[in-house]
Amino acid sequence: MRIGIDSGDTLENQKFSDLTLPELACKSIINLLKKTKIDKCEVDGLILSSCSNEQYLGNIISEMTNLNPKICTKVENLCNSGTTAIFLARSLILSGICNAIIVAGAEKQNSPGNKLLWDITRGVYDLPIHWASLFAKTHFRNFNTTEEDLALISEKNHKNANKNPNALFYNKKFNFQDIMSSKKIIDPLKILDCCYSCEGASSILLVSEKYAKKSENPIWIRGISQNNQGASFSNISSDLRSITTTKIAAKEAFNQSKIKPSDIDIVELHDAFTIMELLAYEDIGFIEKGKGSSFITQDRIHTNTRGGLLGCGHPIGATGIEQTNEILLQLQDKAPNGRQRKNCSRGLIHNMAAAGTSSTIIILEK
Amino acid sequence: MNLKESILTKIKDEIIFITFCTKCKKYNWPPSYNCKYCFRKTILKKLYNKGILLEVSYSHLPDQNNYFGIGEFSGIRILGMVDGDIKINDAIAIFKIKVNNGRISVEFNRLKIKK
Repeated sequence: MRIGIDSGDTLENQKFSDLTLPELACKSIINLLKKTKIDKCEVDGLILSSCSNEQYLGNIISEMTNLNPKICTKVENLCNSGTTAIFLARSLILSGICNAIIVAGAEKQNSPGNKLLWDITRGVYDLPIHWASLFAKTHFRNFNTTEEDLALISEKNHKNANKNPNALFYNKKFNFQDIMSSKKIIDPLKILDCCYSCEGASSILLVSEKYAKKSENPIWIRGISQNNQGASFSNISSDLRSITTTKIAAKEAFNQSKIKPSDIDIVELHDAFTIMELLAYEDIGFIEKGKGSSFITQDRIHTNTRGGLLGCGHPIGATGIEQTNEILLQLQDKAPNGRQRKNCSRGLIHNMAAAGTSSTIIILEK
Repeated sequence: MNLKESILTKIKDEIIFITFCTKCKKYNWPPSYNCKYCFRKTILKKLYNKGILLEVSYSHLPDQNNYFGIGEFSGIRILGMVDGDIKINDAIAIFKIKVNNGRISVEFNRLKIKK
């Protein structure tokens, strides 16, 4: 049985929103329900993706939207929460338990998801930028990657965000020089090599093949895979040249879908830091290891057309769903504000967490 | 007192105790009561404080203006402060270790190898 995506919605990412987390999630779900032809009473699953500590959020949101699903729960997997929720929703439909599941992601700035306190192996160097800088230093040393290469990624994604009104940096323009001269935080990463955490919400409706017949333009999940290698940076730091979990998840997703990286037209990559996008080019298999910097300007595949995490901000639990919604819009030929890319029939989403200890790859097709 | 607290309270000078499996002969890190390989009970054992530097970077953060790196000690990898002249793959030792706001604060120095 094929699993389709019927429709989705993403709110504007903001530094701070006046809305509570349930209010953010509900606003996106209500927008979604207005777009779909699937009746609200046919929705039999609700999965909330968030790193919030608030209690019973799935059922609170279910009550606030008057949904009475068979299954209602919250998923937390740090930055990889959104696609983890999609993974589970797809499994529930595939098993025959559900037919239509809303996956909603929402996050507030007070979420504890910004830092993994459990990981004492990081010592006092416990911010995400600490591990990202070590990945970057390793890549620079082994493959002659430069700060200019990373600046090109930042420039591209910020420029794409200027066509996305939901992006945190929609109205901010940064050119190459601005990025190169931005404040150095941890060698070799500058402030404009890093994404900003923010508040936001996004939702998506997954449906069975039977329900997809009611959809105007369903997009199909052709492959989905996740890999996890523990939680601590020490577990994955034996090889800082790659994101191991991304490599494994990508290989599995391509095997499932029986296509190759060269068959992909458009991708959403988890660019929490510029170096992570460059590593993703290589580890997903778009280009061989060490050649990531040459891929930036090749224009072979459309990358992070909504602006990525760098341009859109990173509302942690909502990020994977926002990424999936962008590929959905692009494949449905509905991407607004002049950011629609032509002739896209297959897209890929890469979402990951905590120094790359967990990664998900989703492959979608028209 | 839980295991993490127990390890933090034992930290002194350059000494840190880590959970160790006597059957597998492996340290378990982060700490665990049971070995993650064979699930037997672990013991606390002093970590041999000599290792190698895997990677290094420099932090420009206002409260952390220094070089730091990741060192490997008997298979255990920890992030700590280093001197600017230490290079990748240099032999290093845990020079200082203390607890700072519940976090392990480590300093590495280069190991002088006698010829």
